[in-house]
Amino acid sequence: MSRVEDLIRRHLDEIATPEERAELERLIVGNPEAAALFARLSRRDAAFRRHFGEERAAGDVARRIRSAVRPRRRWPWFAAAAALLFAFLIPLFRALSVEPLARLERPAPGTEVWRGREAIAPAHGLPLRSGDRVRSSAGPATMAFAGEPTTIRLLAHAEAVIGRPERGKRIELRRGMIEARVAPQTPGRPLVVATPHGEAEVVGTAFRLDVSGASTKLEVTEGRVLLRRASDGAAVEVASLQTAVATAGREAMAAVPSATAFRERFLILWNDLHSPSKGYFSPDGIPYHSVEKLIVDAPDYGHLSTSETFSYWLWLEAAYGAATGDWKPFGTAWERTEAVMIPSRSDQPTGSAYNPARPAVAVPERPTPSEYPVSPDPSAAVGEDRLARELGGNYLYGMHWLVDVDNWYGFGRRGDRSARLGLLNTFQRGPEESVWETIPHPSWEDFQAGGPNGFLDLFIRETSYARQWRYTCAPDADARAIQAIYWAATWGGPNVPTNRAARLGDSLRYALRDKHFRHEPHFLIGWSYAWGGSIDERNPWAWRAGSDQAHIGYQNPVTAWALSTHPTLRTATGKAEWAASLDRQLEFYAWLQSEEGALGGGARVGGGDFHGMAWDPHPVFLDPPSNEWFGWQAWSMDRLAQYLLLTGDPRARPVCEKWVAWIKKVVKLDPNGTYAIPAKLEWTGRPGSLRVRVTEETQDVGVTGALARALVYHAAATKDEGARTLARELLDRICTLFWDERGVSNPEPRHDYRRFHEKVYIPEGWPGPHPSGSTFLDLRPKYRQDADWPRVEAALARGEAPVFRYHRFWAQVEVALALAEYARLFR
Amino acid sequence: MDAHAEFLKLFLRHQGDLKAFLTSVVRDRSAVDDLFQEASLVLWKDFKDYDPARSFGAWARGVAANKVLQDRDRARRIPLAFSPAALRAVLEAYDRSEPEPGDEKERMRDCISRLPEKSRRLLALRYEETLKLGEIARRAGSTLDAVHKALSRIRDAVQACMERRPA
Repeated sequence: MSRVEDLIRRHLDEIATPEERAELERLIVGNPEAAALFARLSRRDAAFRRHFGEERAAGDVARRIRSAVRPRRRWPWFAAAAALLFAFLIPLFRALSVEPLARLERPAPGTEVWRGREAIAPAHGLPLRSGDRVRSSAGPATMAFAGEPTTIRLLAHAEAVIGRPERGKRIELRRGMIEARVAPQTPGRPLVVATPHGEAEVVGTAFRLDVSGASTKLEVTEGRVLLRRASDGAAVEVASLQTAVATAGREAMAAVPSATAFRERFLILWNDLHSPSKGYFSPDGIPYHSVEKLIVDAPDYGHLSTSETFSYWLWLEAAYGAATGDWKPFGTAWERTEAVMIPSRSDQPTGSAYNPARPAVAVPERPTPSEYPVSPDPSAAVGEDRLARELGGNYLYGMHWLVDVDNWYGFGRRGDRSARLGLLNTFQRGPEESVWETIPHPSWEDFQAGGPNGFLDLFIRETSYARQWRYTCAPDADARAIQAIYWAATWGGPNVPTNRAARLGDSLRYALRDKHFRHEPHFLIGWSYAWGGSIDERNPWAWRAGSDQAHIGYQNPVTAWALSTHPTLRTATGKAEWAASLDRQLEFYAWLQSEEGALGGGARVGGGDFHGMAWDPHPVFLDPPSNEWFGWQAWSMDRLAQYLLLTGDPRARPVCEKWVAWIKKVVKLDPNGTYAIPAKLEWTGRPGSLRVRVTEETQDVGVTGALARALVYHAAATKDEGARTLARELLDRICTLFWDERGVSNPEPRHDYRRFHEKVYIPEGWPGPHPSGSTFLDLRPKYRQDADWPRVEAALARGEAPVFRYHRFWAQVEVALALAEYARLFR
Repeated sequence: MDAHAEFLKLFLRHQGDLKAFLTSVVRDRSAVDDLFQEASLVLWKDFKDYDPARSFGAWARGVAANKVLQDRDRARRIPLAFSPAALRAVLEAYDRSEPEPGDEKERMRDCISRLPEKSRRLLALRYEETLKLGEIARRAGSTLDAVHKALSRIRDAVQACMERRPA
């Protein structure tokens, strides 16, 4: 007998160990023949069950027929005497043992009540007596105690026996979960719930008790409960919103924050995020990058917004729908995402003029902003865009990355200078151009703002300039939006726009291609894709471009998996490409993993040893170096761990395990209740011998939330209790240390704010509104009127870094989602 | 034939295979029963969407698999034996090898009736009394492994008999 056959037989006989089941699972997933054998043997097993089930059913019928036709015996004198005797005995008997202790309330279909070996019809109001056994099925059943408002609700597939009431009420919970609300009990006569692993002693409270094979888990929602372990009598008092576990072993028992506590914190945070007084949303109902206006991140003003923010918004509302059943906020989030961030047909009026045979004229990239504008190079080779031919249609369906929610810059939208929600662009001048050196400009370049050529002549040198529209997609955000939509559909949200997500996924395939279509797709999620065209419809032209660079922080195996396998997300032409992308991404993770476990950098198209791509320690930008930030690690590994949870793919597991082992070494939980996670990383070596060192630490709430969520998924996927404990500690410490009147925030010294006064490179003689020598602040003079500006000036005058507590939308959502997912996966 | 009769005809033919699939991937019998009932209701409710050009069995199993995954994701109360990826692999294997209607039932009855009494009793403890192997071993004064091996041999013997013997 082969190993796989042996494992299948052991599984069907219910004697396979978890390790054997895991081994069998790998064989089934990786080998269609093993799966076929599994189908054959499990069908055979079912045939035996059917055969004997039918035999038994036939036997039952025969017994019933025999009992129905058995003649009655005639013992009239005995019957009369017995009736007399029972008339006296019944009240006494009732008083002794059969007085109902409780009644059954609203039993869901399938509920069973057993009195000894007799099944009792589970009607509403059925009196329950000592020794009665109640088994719930798919739905709940409630036991309401007589004379007091005490209820014990058996959730699905639970079994409980009512015990003898000599010293108070006693319930024996054999399996499954109960939710109890216990009225104050008589002193010295507590309600006791006994399980195979211990007992919970209750004097008046609300709690939940869950019996699984190896342990009993108590979660208290109100009051206090004493949990005592059966094996050695060890006990722990569990307070409101805490949980504790009793096992058969003798490890230390402790009460820790419960999943319900995390769920409640999630709901509080959700309410904060939606409360108008907290300031997360504009009057139009659009989430800002942050509550605070004065903030310089990748967006250079807090009341701009990004596709990243919208993608987090979608996910927040999906989690809210899953937690509460209210899916209206998710619907609103999607409607506004589509209306604001995805350029409509009118925003790309000349898309139909796009010529896939000649996607764009190549524009060379220079290292520093001072080397711009650059001239296009019409002689540079440009390949054919076969994707456009495949997708058809005249315009792309993807999010542009940056929007001016309140029209702070005054560029307006699509030519209307007073309109809010105008699409903006920045970063056009090579890898050294940081946010401090960038020049914001409208995506709809109709030359109303800037100089006579708008802002175009800052970036491209041409003899004449045409009015044009230009959009840039940040693919990690679109991938995150698709991921959120996948979850919304999986969690049962109604009317989830999976068809739109499939369209986003089709356009996102431009990110899997090199910039000028010279090569076959690289299949990694690139840094961007971009598209544009002329505004003048009488002289129409359009262009499209992919991305030569891929960063580990942008990869999203969950989205690639969903777009290649989910019945309503996959498309006829896209699914194979996303399947290839999934494989390539998984290979990329393994290739970039350092000896310690962290993931190093990315790759760029051209002459390397990773499918024609060369390793790049810091893809795309160098000020600061792009893989210095620890947040990329948390974001990217959050997705890989989630993918592992969803699929159990053995390719993902070793990468996750090695990374989590590194995290356990570098994250510090101080005994005084604080914590530290990495902030900056320093890299040496190259793939195969990459090494990493933590050079700075932080308590950043957003990155800590993302890290906790990655650990939550990993713990759920691998049953790594250490990862789960670390996630719980980080979340609890964020909530203890950094919960404030608006959400969560930690103090951030902003050393980089000295750069408000740094000069932005603008060529001499540029005919636009900013003269050469203008500073970051000169380009954004409204910052001088911001209420926070005096704090910046005062700190800089003292030679210090101003310290802020920011409420970035994405960071709030990272913490909120980590809380919600912990509650969902470990309740 | 009206839709109800058509549904019943198809459902009765495929219900055993549907239950076999669920039992093979869900570890708790009562959860299997509940899922089977819920999936049956969904099948009837959605029968109007069923494409008669497709296999009813494959459609039914697909619906049941989605139900398993949905319930698992919503509440994590479904004791699924495997990951969703493995569940899909099993689903595909079931779809690839859907059995033709035949006389297996009669052949199995015949072959089981030819077993020695002791073997029939062992099968009955497992499949009629639905005892776990540990309990069977305890009753028989044997070991878990010995019971597993004995059952395997008996099932193989029945299988061999069924393959040899037309009913």
